[in-house]
Amino acid sequence: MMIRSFRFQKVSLRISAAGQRVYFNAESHKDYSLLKGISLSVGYADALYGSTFGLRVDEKEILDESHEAHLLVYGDDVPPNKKLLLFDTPVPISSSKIEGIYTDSSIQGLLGNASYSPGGGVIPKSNVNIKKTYVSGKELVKFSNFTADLVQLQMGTGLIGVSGGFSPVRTVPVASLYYPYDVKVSLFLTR
Amino acid sequence: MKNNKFQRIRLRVSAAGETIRFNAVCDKGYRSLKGIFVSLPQDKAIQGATLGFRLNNVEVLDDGHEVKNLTASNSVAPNSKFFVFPEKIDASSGSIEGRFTDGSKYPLLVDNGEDTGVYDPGKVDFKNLSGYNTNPYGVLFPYDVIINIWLSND
Repeated sequence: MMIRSFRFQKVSLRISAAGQRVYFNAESHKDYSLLKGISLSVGYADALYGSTFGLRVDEKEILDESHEAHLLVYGDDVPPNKKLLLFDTPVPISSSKIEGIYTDSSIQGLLGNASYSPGGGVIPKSNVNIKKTYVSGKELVKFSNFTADLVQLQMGTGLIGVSGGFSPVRTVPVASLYYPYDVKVSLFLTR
Repeated sequence: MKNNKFQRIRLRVSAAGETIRFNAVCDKGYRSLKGIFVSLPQDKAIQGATLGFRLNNVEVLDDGHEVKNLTASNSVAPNSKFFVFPEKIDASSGSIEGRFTDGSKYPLLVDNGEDTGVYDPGKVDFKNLSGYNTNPYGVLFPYDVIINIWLSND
């Protein structure tokens, strides 16, 4: 049967809770020998910042787990032919094992937590136990997050921020996210 | 005869989550299918919508292909609006079979508060979708989708 020289292989992920990490593995289509590019489509723009996406092909790391998801997405203002991240060097594949891991952005809220991040939100990778950061949306409200963005704070919650400083009074994440949402991974394969 | 033609296929989407199958024949006199652009009247209808088609029984885009990848806003220059296929696709009088699926069941998933995200058609009353004001991603029905196909003799 005739097939085209290109194919967009898709993987759909459903993110059901704040901070969720979703792992997938798939096999690349047998008729294609190069992985040339990738893009992500995420249901909510608000869900992007802080969300990460890692990719491995045949156990080789292509994007590490802390690669930011918003580096892989695009808006409608981008020409259709530029909506992919094209790799400098295409990745050879042959019914290869493709593994990915998507982490929801609500971890970002945890990073800003005082007890978790005495340094003000910037923390070394080695100090983060990713396994611990899985929380449901409900649990997340127990954390009181610092935020430096007063405008966002006021808009998001109706609270009045303290001018010129941080306001520790936060009961919800900065961005209101709706769960579940879908993330679609498109892999651009050629022969 | 000109070297390029933009052939249009118009579909009417009447309800959330609707799937429309369509058939078309590429205009005679053009050798190849160069690109595609999908035009939607509402930005909100883009997320989740999919379009797949086969040309002469060979798959060009699979049914799960996102319309998001085949459209662009008015901020994109006219010469960059089409998705240009990475290979030359023979199209002379080719027959197209396609499938468009509205993406609106996606916000339903969110709005009906299903924790699991499992879409249960039994719980959704599609007739009540008009006036679906609480949903920021609400789409108004019906709307028309125009699929522009770029045929060429290049």
